[in-house]
Amino acid sequence: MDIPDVEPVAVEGRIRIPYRWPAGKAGGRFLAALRDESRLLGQRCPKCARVAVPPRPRCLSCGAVADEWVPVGPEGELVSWTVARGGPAPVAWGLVRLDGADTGVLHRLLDVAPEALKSGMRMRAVLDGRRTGQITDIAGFAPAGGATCNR
Amino acid sequence: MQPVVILGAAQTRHAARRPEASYAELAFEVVADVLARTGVGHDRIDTVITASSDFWDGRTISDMSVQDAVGAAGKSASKVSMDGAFALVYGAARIASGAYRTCLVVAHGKASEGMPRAIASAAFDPIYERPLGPDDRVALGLQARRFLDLRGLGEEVLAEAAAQAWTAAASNPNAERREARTAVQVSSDALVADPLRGSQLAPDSDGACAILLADEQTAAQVAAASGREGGSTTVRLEGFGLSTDMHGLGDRDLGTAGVLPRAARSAYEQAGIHEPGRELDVAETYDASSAQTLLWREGLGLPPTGGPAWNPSGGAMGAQPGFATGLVRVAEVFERLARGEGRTGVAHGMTGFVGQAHCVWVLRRR
Ligand SMILES: [Zn+2]
Repeated sequence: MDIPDVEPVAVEGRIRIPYRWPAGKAGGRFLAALRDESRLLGQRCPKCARVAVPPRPRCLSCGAVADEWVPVGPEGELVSWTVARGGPAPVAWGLVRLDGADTGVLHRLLDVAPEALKSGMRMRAVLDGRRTGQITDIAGFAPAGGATCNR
Repeated sequence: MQPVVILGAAQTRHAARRPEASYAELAFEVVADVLARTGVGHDRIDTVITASSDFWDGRTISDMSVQDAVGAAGKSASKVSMDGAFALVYGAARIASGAYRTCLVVAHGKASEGMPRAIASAAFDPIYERPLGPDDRVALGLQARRFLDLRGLGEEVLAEAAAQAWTAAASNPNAERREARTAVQVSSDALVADPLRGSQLAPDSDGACAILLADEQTAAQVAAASGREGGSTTVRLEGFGLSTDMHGLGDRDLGTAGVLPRAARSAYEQAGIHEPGRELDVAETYDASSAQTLLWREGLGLPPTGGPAWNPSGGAMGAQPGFATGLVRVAEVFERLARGEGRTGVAHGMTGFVGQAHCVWVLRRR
């Protein structure tokens, strides 16, 4: 029996399943300080003194339980940056190492033209006026000196 | 431990879209091919390891999307949800243990059926990163920028690396990209994630790869049955290394090769390699960007120029069929050595953002 070739047939679909991702004790504390006190906190390892932002249940370097909190930022250094141009408008992204921290935070960069971006430049966290206890309470990072802390 | 022999390898002609093939048909292409090449029958396969991703296949227990194709029913089968080079570790361990005589390792990727950027975005930390909407290209751009800044290099090095990859891929019949490009052409392409341009990023491909492993005795039997001289030109897996870095992009220095040197050292030590730049004849890496082409070369302990044939297939820059990409690197090195083009080679696979986990294999022809 001859079977002719046919146009490719496919099933179109979409998977949408609601989830919750608990921030945990450390994450809850970090996000609550951001929401309620406009403060950025880091977690310092009692053994090797590494300061992690955002916080982790264990020190990433030595594995000790980190339960000591220290203020970090709100200014820091731009470790690396890129401009994603795949969407309707370019979006600048950066890794910012906040003052007092040993790790970089991934976030969007604000109020800066792509041509003005330079690794090593000073940045400042810009907090969103409306707080929800999410990482988006930080609206992004803008060049230090230019922007105010609250929009 | 039993030595592990590669009996054969097969890969698809990787393409941007293979809408006429189901996931299973894509995998079956390479399974049928590797069995035909080696003359090994399905009944002679003791165990099957597959590499696939639930998110990429749009279903959980994604190994079931290829179960029929790989002939897993009734056999001891298992899955690795990482790049296929890592699945090969599982498969090789099964042979090395002496518990199995043959093992079929199969990886597939069908990027065209989903949304690669959205799927990559779902791999970011759900509390601190995912709500911001980053994707894999953001990670690749941050890595490339840091790579250049750390060394004081200009963007032209990325264009040169990309041109080399495009030119190599042009003569690889299995590559998705089959068109040679110069550094000037590559530099005039639009920016996608500064400093990376479209042609400096690996494509999203549809494709699959299969590798058939066996112990020495079985390899000799198979060779004798096929009329070839008993095992005189076998290619063995002689060393491997695995290393995992921290997940967060801000937790590691993206401008370095990270934990790759650690994985490479382990593989070289097992294979008795002291000077990789001199002792290796071919190297194939999973380079998702032109910055990675340069970074992984350094991480594998190879000199900037000279040394082994470097990504002669074009590397992942020629085709990136999901989790099959790293296994294709092993297949490429195997084919070269089996043809007599060199004696020792290294193949590299990776999983996670911008080289969070690396897998390094040393292959040697005996
Ligand atoms: Zn520590």
